[in-house]
Amino acid sequence: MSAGDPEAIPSCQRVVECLPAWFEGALPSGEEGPMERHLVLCPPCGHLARTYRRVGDVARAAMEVRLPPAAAERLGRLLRARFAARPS
Amino acid sequence: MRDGFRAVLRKPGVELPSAVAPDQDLVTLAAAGDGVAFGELVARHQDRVYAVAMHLLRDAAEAEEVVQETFLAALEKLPGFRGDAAFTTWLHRVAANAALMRLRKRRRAPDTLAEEPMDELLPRFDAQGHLLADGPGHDWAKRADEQLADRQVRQAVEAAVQNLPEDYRIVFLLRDVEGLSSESMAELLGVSVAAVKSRLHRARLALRAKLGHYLE
Repeated sequence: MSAGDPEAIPSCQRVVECLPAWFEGALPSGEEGPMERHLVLCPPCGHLARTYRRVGDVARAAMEVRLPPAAAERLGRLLRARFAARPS
Repeated sequence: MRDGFRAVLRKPGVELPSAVAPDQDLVTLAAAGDGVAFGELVARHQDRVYAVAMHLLRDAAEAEEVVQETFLAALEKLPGFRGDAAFTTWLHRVAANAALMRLRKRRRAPDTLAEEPMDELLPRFDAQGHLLADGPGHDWAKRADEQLADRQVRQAVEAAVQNLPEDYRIVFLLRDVEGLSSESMAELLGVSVAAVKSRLHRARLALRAKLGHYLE
């Protein structure tokens, strides 16, 4: 987390930089504790981390889309024809 | 569509693939000429493939063409598909690549969608590295799911994603919405994994600030 004392609580800026690694579980084990303490002790960073983590889920849920039935039917016709024409 | 495959292409005397059969079993059957197995693979993956193309291209007709190209490529590659990558991973990469090629061609034409500046959406820090207040301070993370039942909220979230600068939009969509790995994206986009991760981080930070305006 920092070049000096590994147990020192990192700055907000450092915590924000480390969020991707934190959520991927990719932070070195010695850096997890100070990161966690910062997130508990600093409400703005705690809030930022909670919302950061949800961005992907929210976008995925909002952007759900399915192949329209007419397009699925056209795809099926195309693939059936090509599949049947394959050399056996 | 599955019924069509079943009726026309079912080989006699071969057990029907189960709806829960792993993709790899279906790939093996399809490569051996089993139309039902191939139909099952298409049915399983057509919505996700369409989503990859539609999110990147924002054009239903072009997205449909990408879906057709992707499954035709799958049909052609089936005999040589060795399962060294999961079929679904391979399929999504093919779809993403086809959509990205179309996007690159399109970039030569004037962009019709205005991109929003991103820097002002990123967190700001003082000289000591302390976080300065940014955007709406309420914690929307807890109630986001129920608010997404509102169509207008969903549309606002989608617009927020789609209005990201193009390089950030593509990385966010492929990683956080479609689930491609950073390594796959780096290869597809011709950039380093570090560049992918950096863009993704900035895109998430900008979006979380914007979503605070739509989610209570």
